[in-house]
Amino acid sequence: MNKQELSILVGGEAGAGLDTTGQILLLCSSRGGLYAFGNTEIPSLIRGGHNSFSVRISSEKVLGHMQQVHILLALNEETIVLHQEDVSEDGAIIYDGDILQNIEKKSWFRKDRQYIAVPLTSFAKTIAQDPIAKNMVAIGAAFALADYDINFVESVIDKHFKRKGEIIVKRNHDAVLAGYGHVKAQNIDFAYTLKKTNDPAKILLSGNDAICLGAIRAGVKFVGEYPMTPSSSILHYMASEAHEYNIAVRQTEDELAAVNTIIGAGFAGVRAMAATSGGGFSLMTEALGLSGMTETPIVIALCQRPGPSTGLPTRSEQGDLEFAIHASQGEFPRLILAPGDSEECFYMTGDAFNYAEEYQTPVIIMSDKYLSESKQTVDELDQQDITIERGKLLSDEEIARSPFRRFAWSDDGISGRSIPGQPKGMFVVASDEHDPTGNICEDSDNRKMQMEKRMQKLTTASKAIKEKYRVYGSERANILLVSWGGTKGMILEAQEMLKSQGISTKFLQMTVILPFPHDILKLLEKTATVIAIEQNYSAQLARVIRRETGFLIPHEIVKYTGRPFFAKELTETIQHILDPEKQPNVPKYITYRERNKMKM
Amino acid sequence: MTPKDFDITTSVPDWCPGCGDFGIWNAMKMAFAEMELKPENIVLIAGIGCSGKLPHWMNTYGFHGVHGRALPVALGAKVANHKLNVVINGGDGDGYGIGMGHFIHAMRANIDVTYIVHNNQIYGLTKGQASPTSSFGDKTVSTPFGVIDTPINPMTIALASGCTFVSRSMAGDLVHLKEILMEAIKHRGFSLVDVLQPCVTYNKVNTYAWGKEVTYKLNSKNHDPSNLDKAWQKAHEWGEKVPIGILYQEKRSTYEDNLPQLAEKPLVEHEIRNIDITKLIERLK
Repeated sequence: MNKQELSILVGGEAGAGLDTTGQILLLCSSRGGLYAFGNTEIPSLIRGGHNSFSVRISSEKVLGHMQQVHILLALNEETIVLHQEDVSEDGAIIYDGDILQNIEKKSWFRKDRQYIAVPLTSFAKTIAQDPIAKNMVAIGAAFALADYDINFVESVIDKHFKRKGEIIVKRNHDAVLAGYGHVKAQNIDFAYTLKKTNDPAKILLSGNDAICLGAIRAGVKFVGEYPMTPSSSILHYMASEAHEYNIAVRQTEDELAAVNTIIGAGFAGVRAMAATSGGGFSLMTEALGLSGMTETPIVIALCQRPGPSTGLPTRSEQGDLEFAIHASQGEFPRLILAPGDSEECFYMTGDAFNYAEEYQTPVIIMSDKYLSESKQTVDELDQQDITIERGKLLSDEEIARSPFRRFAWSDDGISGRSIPGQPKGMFVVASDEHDPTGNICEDSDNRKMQMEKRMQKLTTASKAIKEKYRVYGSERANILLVSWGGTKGMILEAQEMLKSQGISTKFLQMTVILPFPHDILKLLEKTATVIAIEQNYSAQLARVIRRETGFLIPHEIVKYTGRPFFAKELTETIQHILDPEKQPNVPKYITYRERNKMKM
Repeated sequence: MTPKDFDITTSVPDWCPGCGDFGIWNAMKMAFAEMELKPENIVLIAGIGCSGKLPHWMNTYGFHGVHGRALPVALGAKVANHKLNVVINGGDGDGYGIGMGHFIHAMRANIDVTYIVHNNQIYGLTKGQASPTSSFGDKTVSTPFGVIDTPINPMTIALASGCTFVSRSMAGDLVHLKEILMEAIKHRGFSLVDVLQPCVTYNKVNTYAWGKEVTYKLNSKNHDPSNLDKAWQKAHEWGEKVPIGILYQEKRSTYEDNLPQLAEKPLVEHEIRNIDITKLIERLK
């Protein structure tokens, strides 16, 4: 079967049901055995303002969103104005024929676009008896163009709305059929078709969903969180499963409370996590050091959004890497993990809980809005791959064997740990420097020993954690792309695009930032052209790499508009680096810098 | 059991001679012993300040955290293992200043812990600055022209925040303090014990003698602690006549009671190996 690919963008006002539309389009694909990816772009308000939801569907693995739109579902006029530029010439724009007439006279009208009028409003009102059901009519219209199995779509709709009762099911169902019938009757020959497969349904989940699944599997028992986009869906998910999986989930009064509460829970012996974004993480910084100093295991999911300050609250950026590395006063070991897709979010969250207990220190999982909130299909999640390693959590018998000292010297830096309730394991721990028993101690020899003991844990972790990065593409390629986190999918796709033009690349994806994998230096040094790709202003990972290895990555591709990269943008910029005469310009929202030509 | 069972052998308190913290420390050991609490089931949580050092001189579990955040740590520990006796020690700066937000929300949650505030109306460890409970006009190193803020009234704040056990005692009256602490620990829900305590180094006004002179004891004859209106009146008494004892007590379901997850056993006792999430994965298909 040839590769099928369809990109749909639905746009309208906030409150117009775009999330439902996107979700149904995604489910119709994933349950039909197709791969899909869904991304929302919304402003920070509840109603009004322009929202869009893009869905990309394919018979082959989908790595992220795409700029080109094949079907634009315009629930309002503004959607056409804002997005028709991205619609391909063989694509179509479905618009509401009830509210827009004589469109040829509109200033935005383009002769090179195909516009299809569908009476969205009147169908919604007469058939679904609900004007909001315009979106369902539009879904039907889109699937008619793509020639998708409508009976299957009906079954997805019925299941999706089942809990809302028969009347709602029927209204939505009928609205979809009306849109479908209207477009089908016009016999439009459309270039992009989709065929349902007989493959098993795929798992459809966001990065945050995956973090939650990983955390539940890893035995999280306490979640403390203060709502903040784009981390809030972790709070919602965990709260909804709290009773079923015996997890205490507390919406705390602020992030200071969130992090201190999980430290209390971790001290008492349960696996505990908080999720937040940059602003909340700022409030957590003091207690991050408390976790480090008291050697109390905690996991924090840091779902980044553009800063500084309130920034662009509902958009995406990778601007907090250096902040996470340095947050809190003084020096203490911390681990920083950087998953790049939903699948990695799942498995690496499992790792995070093990590392937190094995190394008795905070572990930060870095995500970003694009990764946290976009939904993508995954073939399989193997829960057996998440196992439980509790490190040196001692049994009553082990504690009783010798006089217990909670912060006793150990060559690997990790001391045995007791939890309240264990009869011979009593200790008091201070946020002050303390001696091996936990008592406050300002002695120079003791300070030196405790600092070295704690910092040693990072070396121990570095030796024990085998995979800290992944390399994709041809080993012999003389172009190396370096990145981390949510940019992964777009870079992999850009690699494919470049390959089809005869340009061979490899991609170094850093999945563990701390402990830092110094052996990447070999890879950096042996490749002719090294390019850092990051969704922030400063190319923060490149700066970290330079600090840790001395290697200056000469080329930087960065984007800081709050919108994630598109593969096409990356491809064009890389072509520009390789051959500026052939590709004189870089895309509008991309910044390219040549570092070795700047005064450093 | 005797109070000595809660002593440690490796170090002794470094509070100033005559500090009110000694009284609170001794009364606490007496209360624990009389209640026959197992040392390994006690978790003492503290913030920063002279009061925060108290856990270091007790043979129990202890967590001496950062300034103002003792209550969230306590909540996390208690929910993780609600079989533990969780007792928090903090100062007036720690609890009524930097940690005020947590104070109100912990009372609202009615988590079953006991919060002892060492209220000496001054910052001691940072060397004598005004505290949220310093009186209007008090001259300190940070307020050389006198405090111009109205002092915090912890009793009225506690009553207004849904605290189910609101009490006051003083460090100079060991027997009274021990009795109040025992009632506070027995109480199911959040219990506040505000302890009037001299700072012998920096507060020359609110001394032991001052406490003895202005306080009077609440008892069944002069007060009904189940009456919120009466408690509200008592909470406003300050200056020449200051009531000590239980101002208010109410039965209400605790935070833990309202978490069905805790009904079977403490969270910490759940096996975490092989938690099956197949159902959750299937739901995403």
